[in-house]
Amino acid sequence: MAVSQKRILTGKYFAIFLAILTALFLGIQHGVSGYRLNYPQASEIKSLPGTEMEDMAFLSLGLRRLGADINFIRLMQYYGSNEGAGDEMSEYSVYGLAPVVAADYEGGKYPELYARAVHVFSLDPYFRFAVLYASGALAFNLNRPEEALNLLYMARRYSPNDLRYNTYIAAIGFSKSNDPEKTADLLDTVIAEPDCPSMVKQLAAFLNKRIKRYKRAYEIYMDLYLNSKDPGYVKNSGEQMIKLMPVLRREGIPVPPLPPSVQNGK
Amino acid sequence: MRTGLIALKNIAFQVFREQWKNRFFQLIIIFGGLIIYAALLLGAMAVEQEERVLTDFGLGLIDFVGLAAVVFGCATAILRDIETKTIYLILSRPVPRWSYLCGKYAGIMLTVAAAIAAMGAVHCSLLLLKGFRPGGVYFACLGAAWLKTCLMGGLTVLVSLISTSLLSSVVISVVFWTLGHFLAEVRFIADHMGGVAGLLLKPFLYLVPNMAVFDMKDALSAVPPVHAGAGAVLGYCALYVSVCMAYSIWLFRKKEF
Repeated sequence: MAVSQKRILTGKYFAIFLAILTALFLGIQHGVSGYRLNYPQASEIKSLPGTEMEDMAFLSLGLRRLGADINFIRLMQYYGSNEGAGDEMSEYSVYGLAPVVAADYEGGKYPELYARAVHVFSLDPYFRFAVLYASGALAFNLNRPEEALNLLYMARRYSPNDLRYNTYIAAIGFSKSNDPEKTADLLDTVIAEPDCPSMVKQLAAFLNKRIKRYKRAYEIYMDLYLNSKDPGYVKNSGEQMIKLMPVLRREGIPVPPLPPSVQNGK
Repeated sequence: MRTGLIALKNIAFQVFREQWKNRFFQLIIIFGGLIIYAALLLGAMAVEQEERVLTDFGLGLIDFVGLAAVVFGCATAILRDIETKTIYLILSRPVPRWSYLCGKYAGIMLTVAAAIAAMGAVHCSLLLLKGFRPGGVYFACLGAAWLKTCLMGGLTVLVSLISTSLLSSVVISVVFWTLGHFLAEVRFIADHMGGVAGLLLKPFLYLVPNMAVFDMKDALSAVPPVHAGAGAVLGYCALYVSVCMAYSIWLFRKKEF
């Protein structure tokens, strides 16, 4: 005899069904409770002063990667800004009458760079571009190799099979021991990767130029000129190629011709 | 059973049409589309990481807008029918209560799926316009976002039958969503918490969904990618929704109008 639909949903059959489903649910919930991705926990996030609530919001909404992206943009803005820009403020500055201080982007201290990089890293430890960018700036531009190495060691802990970190660590090591040839050789393997920051490529080109490997420097500048999305690097690499061309001609080294846009000064 | 299934299908399509006409729902979708478009600005600021930022921002927003749509839709679905007395008209006909409830849920999930597809299409076009090609991971993330909303939908239907107001239903559901992303941390706190609070917190955590299972973006960007697997994600979502809907039916059949 067929059991009526009403009886199924109201009678003891439904209660039994609910009990079985609940037991299954609790079992699965118990099993799933241990499942977590290999990312730093909330307590391990190295928030900067004032960003704690923001970080928690990103984590609680499941937007960890977006949080890392936004903080990386802030890091780039911080590192890309002129450090001494606000130092010469006077009462005339309010009215826009104070003389404009020429931007000086060479060197700089950028004391927050490491903390900002660690913050981004703690949100997304697999953000390779951010790690390479920040550690490159710290080691080669700001002469703080210890901080760069710390960042790279942290990154390697999360991605032990990523050989680029090892190469980068070795390059920093040789740079510390004043061996620019070895450093340039190692950086060559790092810049061959498609997601290598333009800043690291520029460093490699500069290093090659310094050790008189003009052809390699020219090739890297050419790559930067053709592929970089950053107009600053594109402009600089064009200028560098123009400067390198007479040297290469003088030494009789054959290289690809300058792109027409460089020749026209565009 | 057959009558019930036909009623379920009719109610689901009716809800789908209703939701699309709902001004709040339309507003959510337009807002989502506009914000995704605004992501272009953020992407431009990221210079060399434009693709990553555009993708993350778009997918995050789709996730968030999907949550808003599903929580609002599910929390108001039955409440509005009671307020407008439409429920009397429906239940006075030979429509089983379970098919009414499941029809409502299915209709909302259909609407949210269409909304996610629409926002995904806008986002995808933007990425293609910028010269980036979204791969399989992108579509897996969209699928995971929909499964996440399905789970939240089931939970919100259950909460809306237990709680007394729209606001409390929405708040409770959002709290579950938030806790779901923090489950590992909350469990750690519960394990180290003594006294009555700890004793009460531990069983409560068995009700919270583990949202890490659905974090496809984070899982696939890890090196090497680690993920529970599509089957496990689907199974977990199906079980959670089944439990929520079964308890909702159990509560709803006792409700007097």
